[in-house]
Amino acid sequence: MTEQRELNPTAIPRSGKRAGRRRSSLYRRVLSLGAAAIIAAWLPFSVMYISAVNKQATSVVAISAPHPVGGSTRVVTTASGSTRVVAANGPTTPGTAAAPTPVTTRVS
Amino acid sequence: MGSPAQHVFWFASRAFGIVAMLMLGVSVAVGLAMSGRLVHRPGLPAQLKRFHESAALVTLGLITVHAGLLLFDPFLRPGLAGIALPFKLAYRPMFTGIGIIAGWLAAILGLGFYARKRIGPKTWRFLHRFTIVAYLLALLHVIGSGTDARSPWMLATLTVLTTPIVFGFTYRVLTPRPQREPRPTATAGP
Repeated sequence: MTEQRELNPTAIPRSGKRAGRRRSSLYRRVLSLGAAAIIAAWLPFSVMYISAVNKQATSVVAISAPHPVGGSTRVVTTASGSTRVVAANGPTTPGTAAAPTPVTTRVS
Repeated sequence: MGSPAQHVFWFASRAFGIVAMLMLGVSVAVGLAMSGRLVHRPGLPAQLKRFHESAALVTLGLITVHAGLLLFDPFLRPGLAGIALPFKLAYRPMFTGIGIIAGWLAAILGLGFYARKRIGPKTWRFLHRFTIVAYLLALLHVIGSGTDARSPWMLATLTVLTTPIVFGFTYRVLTPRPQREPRPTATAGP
């Protein structure tokens, strides 16, 4: 190694070369594993997003459902944690029935 | 539930949290398999060491993304202190705090590999044993504050992930260590 350096002073020592190779191989492995992890994260993300879209569609249907004239509605929280608009028992005084207020919750 | 688009960062953070937990489990299991000398095939320990190092680095990246994405969640608004300092976040403070401690512990014990020449391989090896604590704290964080913690698929995943770790750890603790000369270059990855 000493002789080689004397002949060519710019030559990289063998241990330095090995370290460089090791580092570039580590970068490659980390990058490919990282890419795989991002793809792996995409699966639960899309499941959560689709399930949220479906839940929103259900709640929109519930809010736009017709209710009896003179009756009132109320927003209830179901056992699963989602919100639902239901008709209250019996008609209330005309003019007091308020339209259901959109409720924003985070259940998923 | 508001528009799902409002929760994009929340979903993404959860998804990265799940993958980070999986990667941490795999990395810890591989580390235990190496230190417990559970693999004997020629060349396999070296391959596992390389995988262990990469998996640990990717895990740290995933933990950072998991926490960082929460900064953009319009509902949680944790702020930098909320994601970096334990027990500062208003949302399930106990278990999110445990998660933050687990994250820091994993970072210190994992990145300590690159400071082993400074701290000494013996000290590093001693400290690296506590990575199992980081895994256990992360497990507590998932069970306590994870939104999906009670779903059967998550419980099944955590069980499948933790079983080989418990086995590897017990095997490692019960197996007597052979006396050997310290070899600084042959230490396992982070």
